[in-house]
Amino acid sequence: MRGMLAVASRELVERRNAFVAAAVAAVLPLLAPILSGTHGGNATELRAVAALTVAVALAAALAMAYGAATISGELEERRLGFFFARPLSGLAIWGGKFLAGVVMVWVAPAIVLLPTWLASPSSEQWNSIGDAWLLLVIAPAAVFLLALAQAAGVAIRARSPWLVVDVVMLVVVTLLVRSMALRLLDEGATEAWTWTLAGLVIAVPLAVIVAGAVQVVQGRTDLYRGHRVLSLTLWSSLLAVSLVGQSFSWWVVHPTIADLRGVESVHPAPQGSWFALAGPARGRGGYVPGFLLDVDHGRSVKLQGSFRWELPVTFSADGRHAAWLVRSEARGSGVRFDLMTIDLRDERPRPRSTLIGFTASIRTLTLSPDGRRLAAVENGTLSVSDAYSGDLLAAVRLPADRVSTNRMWFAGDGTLRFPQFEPSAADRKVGAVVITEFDVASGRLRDTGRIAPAGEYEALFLRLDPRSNRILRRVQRPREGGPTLHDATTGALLADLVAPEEGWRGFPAFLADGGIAVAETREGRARLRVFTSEGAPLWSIDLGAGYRAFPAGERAPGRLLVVVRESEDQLTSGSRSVLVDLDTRNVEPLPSRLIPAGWMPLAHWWWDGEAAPGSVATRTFITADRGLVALDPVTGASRVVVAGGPPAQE
Amino acid sequence: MSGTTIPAKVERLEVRYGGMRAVADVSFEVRPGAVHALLGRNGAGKSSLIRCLLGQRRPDGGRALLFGEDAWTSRTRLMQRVGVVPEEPDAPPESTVSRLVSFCARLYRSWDGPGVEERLRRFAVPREVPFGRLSKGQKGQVMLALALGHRPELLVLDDPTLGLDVVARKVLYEELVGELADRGTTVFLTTHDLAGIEGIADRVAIVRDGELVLDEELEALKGRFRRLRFAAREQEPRLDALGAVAVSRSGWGVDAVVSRWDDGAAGRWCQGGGAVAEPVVEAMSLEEIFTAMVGGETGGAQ
Repeated sequence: MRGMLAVASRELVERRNAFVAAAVAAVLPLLAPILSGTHGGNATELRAVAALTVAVALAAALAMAYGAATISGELEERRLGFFFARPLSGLAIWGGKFLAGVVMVWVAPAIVLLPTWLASPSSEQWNSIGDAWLLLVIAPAAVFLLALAQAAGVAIRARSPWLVVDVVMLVVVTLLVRSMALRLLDEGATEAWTWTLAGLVIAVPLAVIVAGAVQVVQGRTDLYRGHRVLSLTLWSSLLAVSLVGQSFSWWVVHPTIADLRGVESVHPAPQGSWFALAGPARGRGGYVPGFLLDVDHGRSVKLQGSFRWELPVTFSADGRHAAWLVRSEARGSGVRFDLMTIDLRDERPRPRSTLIGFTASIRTLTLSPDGRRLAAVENGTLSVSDAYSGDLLAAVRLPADRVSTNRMWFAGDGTLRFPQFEPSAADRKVGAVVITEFDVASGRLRDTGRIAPAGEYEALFLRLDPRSNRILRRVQRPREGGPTLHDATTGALLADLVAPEEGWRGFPAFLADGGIAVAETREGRARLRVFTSEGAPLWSIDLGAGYRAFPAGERAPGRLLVVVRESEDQLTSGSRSVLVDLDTRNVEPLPSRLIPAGWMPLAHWWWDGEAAPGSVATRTFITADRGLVALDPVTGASRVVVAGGPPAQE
Repeated sequence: MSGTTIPAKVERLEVRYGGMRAVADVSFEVRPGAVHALLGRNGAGKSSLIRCLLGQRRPDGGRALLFGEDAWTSRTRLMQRVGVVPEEPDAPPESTVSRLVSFCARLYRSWDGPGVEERLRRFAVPREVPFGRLSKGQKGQVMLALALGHRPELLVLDDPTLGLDVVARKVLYEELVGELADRGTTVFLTTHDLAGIEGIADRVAIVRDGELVLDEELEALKGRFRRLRFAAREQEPRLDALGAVAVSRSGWGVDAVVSRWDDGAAGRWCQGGGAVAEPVVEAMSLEEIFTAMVGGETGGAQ
């Protein structure tokens, strides 16, 4: 240490002119307002900005000049031997010179800033950018620049073939870093990228500094050999860092189902055993990977992207095809989505990219029952495409004054039917539901009916039964009417399912036999009412205490799952599920607060149709800790599909 | 001085630059108190050898030892016992002599401040002039003063007289002789100034193309080398028994340098049938021996 300090103090004494230059430069910011004729607060600001600019420029210039001249210049002029002929270790020689450089690039800018700061220490300019910015960015950056200049000086002055290695490795490492960045950013693993970037910001300067030290310690007075040592140390360490980064980024974006710590979004197919789900994975920060999972057979397909707030997957009605959007931002102008499709009947299903792309304005996405056609609403335009070739089959502009309801279904391959909300002229919050039909072959759009008044758009809830061509409408507020049954073509009211007593709020659902169930709550009590397919009331049964109740699909025909929320707080931990036998009217509680995965508040982005009895939506359940378990409908045995994680914020 | 420890020693030393061997399988040692001169033409490998010995370059083969320790791994500690005068004065040019002295004084456990001051005064070197502005001779004198400042046990000089005028060379040799007389410091040096070194060197080693071709006491060396001149005859006299190093012929006769001359040499020559009438036998200077060894067509120490 004594030797290092001796070298450092010698360097500083010999380069004291740098501090004299800094003292002279410190006057410039004070003169700036005078020279530009600026007064008052603006003059203070001008002085601060000028001082910072001069300080930064001086720090950069000193770092580059001193870094490039010291050591490499001494080696080229064969003057470093003077130090190596003394009882000084290589580390002391390098450390002393580097320490002197660090002092210079820190103290000289401080000298520049000092008079201006003394002139106006309370300036907001200092508070906003001065302190933190100067210390946290400029100071380490100047040290890095110093080390970089030293390394570059050696590489350039040595004129050895290792310069070719330097250039090649620079390209290789840059490409490796770029590929890890793209891998993480394309997957939306921004937090992991931030960690990686932070690691690189620390590792790269550290590698350059260490390589500079090793060059002096091992290369000693031999510039050529020093360059070789420098290159080997620098590039091997950077290559190691890059490969660690590569491995880390690969590990981040290749989680398995077993890595998940609970699920954030689930989307079961309306039929079959496939499931789309997304959840945080161990050690991956904010990255939320998504999967398609065959719950019965354990097959899974990783979806590209991070799905923290959305799971843009849609299944065909038979559950044998799926399509989803992959976010591809930062590749040009704004956020883009590329459409991927998959045929889940394959032994080993593989995602296929299509030529179909969307903007962030996409509202609705629906696959035809056979999975070959895809309908989408984007920017007020309805388009139908071949899901595999990407060919556009038809497109039409939708009426501008209507709002998509996120419900759309293929009524046969050639016809699309969908309800849209049409705000009233007087109050745009309320309005009517217009039922529209689109003929793909002719490209013609035709309104077939309307439900009016439909109530408030924000509170509107529609359930569809394409088989029987009926719509269940529900609005949240009792004064707007209870659940109603409508014809899905004309919108004609078929039945009013509102409770005869005041104050009940209900959520309706179609049953497998065509009947209708309405789960209702009032004043902390829940009940279930059952209707015929025409909407005639049959019976009702008490479900105990409840804040809200929701039908959640039939586990088997005639065995309806109902979710009862006990409070407004937690969706899962504050809820319980019961199984109602519609024949015996027996109510059986499900164990340990399991919530059916097909329950709408959990499973959404797009509506694929009502879950068929016995489908995966009615056999898999969310646990209180956001895990996912499958319950055998016959034996009742549970199997963990996704392990739970820490309590989620809902 | 540490007893019988050999101050400097190289064992099968090898130095390569890319595919070129600068030093090849060189072994010798510098004995305590000796003045050991390493001679060789430019590019013979002397500086590479010195740099290995000073721990400034890792040998590609073999070992370089100072006081029995590996020069590469123990350089920092060993430099407390070694003074170095490089081929080119390499002190920082912006530093004044005063600052160089005070810098060096901080680095050594024992620093002979008055001695350094006395030497610089004797050399009449200006103290407050930057080193880079000194004359070549003054730079060499400063380097010598700094090298002797910590009373080294071993002084290594890499061609210290290069570029010096006669007066500067004389001053340097006087200083060396004085140091030797006062303290018995071991000296290992390379030089092209063979005449200058002849008076103070005890032992001489010669390298040629990276290989050690000779390492011997100077007196013994000079004792066995002779120049022979004799008239030409029809039958060439045989010089093999005398270890001919260089033989040249001209109109008047033969000029030969032999390396195995001793008191009985003339007799052996006669018995071998090679004797000629009245050969002229001359003793040789170190410079002449060196020239015959590395400059002639016939090579190799005999």
